[in-house]
Amino acid sequence: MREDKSTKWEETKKSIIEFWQEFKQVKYGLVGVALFFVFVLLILLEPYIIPFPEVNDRWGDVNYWEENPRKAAPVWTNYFGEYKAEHEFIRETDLDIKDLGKMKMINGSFIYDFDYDLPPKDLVFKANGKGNLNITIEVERPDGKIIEVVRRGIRSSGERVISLSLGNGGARRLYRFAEAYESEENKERFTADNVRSMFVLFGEAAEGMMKKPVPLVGDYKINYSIAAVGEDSMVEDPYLIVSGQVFGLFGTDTSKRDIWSGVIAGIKWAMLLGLLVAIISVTIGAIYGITAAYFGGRVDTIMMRIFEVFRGIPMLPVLIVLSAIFSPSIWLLLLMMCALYWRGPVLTIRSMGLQIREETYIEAAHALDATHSRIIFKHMIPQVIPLCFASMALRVPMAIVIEASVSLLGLGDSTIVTWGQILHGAMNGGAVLQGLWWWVIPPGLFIATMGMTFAFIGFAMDKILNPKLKTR
Amino acid sequence: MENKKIEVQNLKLHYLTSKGAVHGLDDVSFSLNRGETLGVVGESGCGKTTLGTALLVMPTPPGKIIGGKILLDGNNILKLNEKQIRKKVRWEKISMVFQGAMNCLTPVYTIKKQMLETIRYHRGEIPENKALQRIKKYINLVGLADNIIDRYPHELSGGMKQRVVIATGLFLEPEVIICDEPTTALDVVVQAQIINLLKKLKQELEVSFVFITHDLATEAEISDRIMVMYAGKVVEIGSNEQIYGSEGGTHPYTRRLMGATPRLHKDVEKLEFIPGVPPDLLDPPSGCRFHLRCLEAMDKCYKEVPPLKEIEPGHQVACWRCY
Amino acid sequence: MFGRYIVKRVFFMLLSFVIIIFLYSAIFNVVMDQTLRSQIHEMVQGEIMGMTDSTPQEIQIYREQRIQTLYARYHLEDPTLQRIFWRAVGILKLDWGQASMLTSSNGSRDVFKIVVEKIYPTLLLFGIFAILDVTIGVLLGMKKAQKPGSKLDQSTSIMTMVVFGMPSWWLAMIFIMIFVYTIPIFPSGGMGSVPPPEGFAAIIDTIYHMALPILTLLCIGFWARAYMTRNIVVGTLQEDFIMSARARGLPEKKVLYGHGLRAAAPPIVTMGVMSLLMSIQGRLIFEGIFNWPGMGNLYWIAVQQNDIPVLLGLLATTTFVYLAGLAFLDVIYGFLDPRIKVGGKQ
Repeated sequence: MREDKSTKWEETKKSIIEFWQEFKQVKYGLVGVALFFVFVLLILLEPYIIPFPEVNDRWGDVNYWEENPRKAAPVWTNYFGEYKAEHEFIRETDLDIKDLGKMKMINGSFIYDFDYDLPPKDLVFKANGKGNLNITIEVERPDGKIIEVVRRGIRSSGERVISLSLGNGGARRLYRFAEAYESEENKERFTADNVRSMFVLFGEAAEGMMKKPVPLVGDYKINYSIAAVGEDSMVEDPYLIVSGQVFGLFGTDTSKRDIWSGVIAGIKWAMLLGLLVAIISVTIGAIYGITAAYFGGRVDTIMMRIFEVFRGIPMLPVLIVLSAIFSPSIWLLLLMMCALYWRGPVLTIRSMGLQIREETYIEAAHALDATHSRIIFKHMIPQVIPLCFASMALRVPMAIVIEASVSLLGLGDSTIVTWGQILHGAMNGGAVLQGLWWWVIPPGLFIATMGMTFAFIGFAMDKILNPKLKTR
Repeated sequence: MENKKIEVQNLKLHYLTSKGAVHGLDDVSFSLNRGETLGVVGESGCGKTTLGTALLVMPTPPGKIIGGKILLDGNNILKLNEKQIRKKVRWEKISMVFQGAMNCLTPVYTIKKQMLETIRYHRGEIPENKALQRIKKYINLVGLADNIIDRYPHELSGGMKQRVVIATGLFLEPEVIICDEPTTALDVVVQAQIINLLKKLKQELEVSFVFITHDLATEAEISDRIMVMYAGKVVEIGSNEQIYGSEGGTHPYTRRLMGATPRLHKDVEKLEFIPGVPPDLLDPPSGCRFHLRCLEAMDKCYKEVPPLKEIEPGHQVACWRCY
Repeated sequence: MFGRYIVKRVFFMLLSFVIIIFLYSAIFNVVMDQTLRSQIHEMVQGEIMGMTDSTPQEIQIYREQRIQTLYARYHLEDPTLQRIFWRAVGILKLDWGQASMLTSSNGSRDVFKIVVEKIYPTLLLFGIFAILDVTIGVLLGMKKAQKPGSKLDQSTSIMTMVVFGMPSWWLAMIFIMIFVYTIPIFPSGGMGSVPPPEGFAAIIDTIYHMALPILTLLCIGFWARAYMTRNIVVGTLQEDFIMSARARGLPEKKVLYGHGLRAAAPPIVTMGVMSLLMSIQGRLIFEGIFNWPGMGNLYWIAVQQNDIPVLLGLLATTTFVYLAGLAFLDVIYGFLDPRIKVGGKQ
């Protein structure tokens, strides 16, 4: 028995090496394997390469993404076309605190060096504050003009985060500022409600500044002055968010989420789901097929009849309806997929099984009084394993697409980030309509690429292991 | 001279694989006379089947005929283009009965359809009843009932299929029929029937046969002359008596083949076998290709290739020891 | 002989359908019950609204009675198995109940009507695509098989693998972004313009709307078919009977098509129909992206509105179509392969 095991191992090792020799020759197979390892690497490096490592748990948490710009294009688009303002945090400021007894005057300013074709989406003043605060913010432009943008009073008994959007808060004032220079035509087109604040703020004071201004390049001083009335009132840690037109490698979506983080986080789910579904479903199918072939006769007929009934169940529609009703988690979805997907390889494996059954060594095993399961698992299954591998590889892409489809409809597991989820957001957020291509392309591209990876591997395996395809 | 139906001179066929050229046939020369049956024997891989397909100018890819001549009635058929060979040689003059008739008939057409197709292509638009007449004649000749032709191949047993294949090979009345292992896959009873059928045909039709097999027993029954091949080359040609007779051949390989075959009428104490394996034709051995396994090999044998020389009338051998 | 085969397949298909409907009925039992109950309550509530001159007690009694009656009519008080049974029977009798939210184009709430009127658009889009896909795929596959290992063969095989994992709806989104918004060539969706044109212009209009969806589907579709056709044909061409046909002196074209393709036809057809069936699943999502008013789109809408009865009606229909496709496939295969048509050895 010991010899038996070691020679079996030797044999297996040899055939694996042989297989690898042949596999090496198929170029695209190697490409597939390489891509596979790239994905694995990305999964392992995930926490280090994404700027928002908590993306997994906090994809749906609005606060986590709060400080990102909304609908920002990827950073590298700045190499093509207009030079768009980047996302910055300006923290340096000289805080000048004057204590006047009952009131403190806090003054400071941020300097923003603007040298772009397209201004930032917004400027947001943030600080921690408490009590009774009167805040005034004005912007000193390079052309000397000073615009008071925000004047606001805030009352808060406890400490809280102050967040003032200059674009929103200052819309009316900026409109009035622009009124003085704009043409009548443009003034009719825009009102204080729909004026593009940032265009006005960062544009040259001239006609057309509401519609498409010439960017006013230079240093902008954002001066803030806060009167903290009362003993308990205070303000600390002020900083300015320059909400960029571009952000991150894949931009952001309508909920300000960093798409790069989302996509990278999605890799492991796709890989996991795909591989698990593929492996489990093929295994079940193979065992089913072999068992039917092995027992033959009535058992075979019954098993095949059952199989044929199952064959008639269309997988995706059933999954959709089940998901709509039961709202499954990812694991339940996985289970459901396995329950439906096992049908595929049964026929081929069964016919192989029927052939193997006729071999004399099976008879010999019977004569030696081996149990059914022993024969099935020790003798028959190993024969079909090579075939199974190719089949498994080719099923991964399908599994991933199915999950993505279910998620696209909004029926997926919303607690995790999958590519399908991201695309669902894109559909709902009107990405297609608004041309937010960076929201649509990356997730789908990753799906397609992972599909391609396993297709390469699977087809290469198939080419080698399927004798009929050998072209001399 | 005029009796020679086919004369093959120095035929060379190589398989051009990605690893290099495999020497399928090297310098094969022999002749086939009218009405005679030439048996071709040898181990698996010696080139017998290759020779069969070569005679039809249809080497199995990636094979290519790269030298020599095949003279049919004095004309070198290798010089003809594909269309001419198709119309004039294949099945018209030379036909083939294939090995493993299991798969030689297209499974989706009836026998009738396939045979009609063949005769229509070669004889043009002959009226259907005439064609069917011919078809039925030969179907009956091989011992099958008329209604067989309406069947699909999978409905026939192995023996029946083999007979159909024989009938197909005959019914255009070619002058040469190449039989490649026609009885190998069949049981002995059916085998005997087929052999008797072929003998009968030989008598009645004056067809020349090339009978390729590795079964020496059936070979002996049916062949007039025997050609022994080894590793892509001809090593001995002789009459039935000269090869199978009391001396059991001349060439060491032939003798060992004979020695390895049990005889009914001889007392055999021990069955001999030939040690070693046939050589790799990707890189054939130098000199005589048998020298590595030959017990009587001399120095000369692995230096120089022995030519095929006549040692007595009608008997040729390629062996340095035998001249 | 063959007739018997057809009958057997069709019978088995219908039987499978019935079994599956029972399965569905069982799985969705709870949900259907809840939906039905709430629908009944709604309906009774509506009736009560109209009863303005009755006292509160009368209303109460009426409500309870009504609910009891309706529960009994819909077997809601019966034990579980019976409920499952009756619902399945109902589905088979095409009584699919009322939709929760949706209505058909003429306002009917009958789920069956709602679903049925969507079959035609799906069939139209899908049918045309199928014809194009099969034609291009098989022809390309044949071309590839004639010169295996050639540049054409290899490059198209690579394409097959590249698009293998690409979701058709994703490509649709991209194409829409490009060809509808960036370079406006095609309409953004729907099956026809509003207001719908008359006569011949209507046909053109439909084609215009179909163009981009079909184009998108084709970009991904035919590669796999070409690849598999090529494999099957190459495999078949290595069979002995091909060599035998050549040896008989038959011209190459006849050998390739008459013998090769014909013998390869059963598996090619099987694979072809099978892959079309499989692709139905993806197309359903696809329709939604284009707002093509077919069954797929209905899935979208029903999911968004959480209209369970419609979903189940859709499921029944889809399953039926799927099974019919499988049965059709079996029959065609049997017809093409004489081993099945005529039966085994004598």
